[in-house]
Amino acid sequence: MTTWDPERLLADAERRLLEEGGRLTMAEAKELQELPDLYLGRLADLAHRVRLRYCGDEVEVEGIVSGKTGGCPEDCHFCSQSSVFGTEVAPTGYIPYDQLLRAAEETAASGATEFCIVYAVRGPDRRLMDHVLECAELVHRQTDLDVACSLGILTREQALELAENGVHRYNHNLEAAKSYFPRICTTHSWEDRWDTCQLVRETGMELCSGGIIGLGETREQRLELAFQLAELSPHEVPMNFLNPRPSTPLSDNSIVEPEEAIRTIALFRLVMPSTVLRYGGGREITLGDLQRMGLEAGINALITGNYLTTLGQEIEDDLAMLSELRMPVKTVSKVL
Amino acid sequence: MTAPKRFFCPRCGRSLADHHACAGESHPGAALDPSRFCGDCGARLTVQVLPGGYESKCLPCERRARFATTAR
Repeated sequence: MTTWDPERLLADAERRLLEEGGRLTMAEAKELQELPDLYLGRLADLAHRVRLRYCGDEVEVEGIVSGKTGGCPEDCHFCSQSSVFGTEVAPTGYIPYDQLLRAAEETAASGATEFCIVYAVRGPDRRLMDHVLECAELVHRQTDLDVACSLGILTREQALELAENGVHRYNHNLEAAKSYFPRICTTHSWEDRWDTCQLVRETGMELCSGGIIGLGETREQRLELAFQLAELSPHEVPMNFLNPRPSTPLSDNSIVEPEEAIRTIALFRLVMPSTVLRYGGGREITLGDLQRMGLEAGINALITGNYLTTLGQEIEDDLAMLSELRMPVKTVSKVL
Repeated sequence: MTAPKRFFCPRCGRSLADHHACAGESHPGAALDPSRFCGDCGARLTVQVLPGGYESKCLPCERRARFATTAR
């Protein structure tokens, strides 16, 4: 009978990841996930060293903007932009080009390298494709930012068109583990999302896919999500923490405890050592003053400033936090 | 200079005359929400959040406002 030995667990994980260049199994990750709280610092430290070894100390900074707000026909239970729940978010048309450019310029002024345009839709029609491609061209003309976008479920033709017209990264989160997804969305399937993620990879765009912690899933389902994401080999994994929105089905969910958030961040890093692991929405209300701990537990990227429909930590505060942590902001490296 | 008088709660849109508890203030993320209702007429605002601020528009009042959330 094997004796449970946390020191051995951590040492084995360190050897596998830092010396052998291997990957954790689900069984190993589960054991690490269940380490007592007094080992959380050691777990975070291991994740931080894995981040430094595989990714370096730079932090990738991104700005995001809503290209179309509200009025989404899908019923993702966490989302205030769904038209199903009668939330306080009023639907808008497509963002005017001057506002879009202002958003891009605010992002560029922060030193960010990425700018993501997100539309609240099931999938794009021709008019939306034209709008986002015009936006991408405008941003490329006026800034040095790389443009990413999030338009929902794609066809192969749409994915190819985006890739061929300057969109370098496409976001489509799995959102939750396959086993939990039916509890948080009924209008499309987890497989729909998986298929779009695969299409993105096949057409040459970088894939950005992550999820939301705190939807009501179990700890095991968080690991299930991490391993499912790892199968996709995404370039970037945004980690969002649920901000329970009024009038949505998840409005009464509890906020994830900060220690649990740090534990989950560390595990995602250990499962995906070389991905860009990005602080997404909800870090302010979940972690508050402990946000910098996440940056020393595996996070190596963040969305700066405001989000799609809610406000975030000020850009200056984010940059000050990175400066205090002595983590340089990744700079643009365009070939002229 | 006095602040403009408001008649409706910018968080929940209810009349301030009988506004005892604000549903818009009771959820955990309330401090990070832009104003979503017009203080003059109570209509839901269309709000465009940008990285450094947000812009809101009241269609009935035909009024726009711009707010910065960055110190610069």
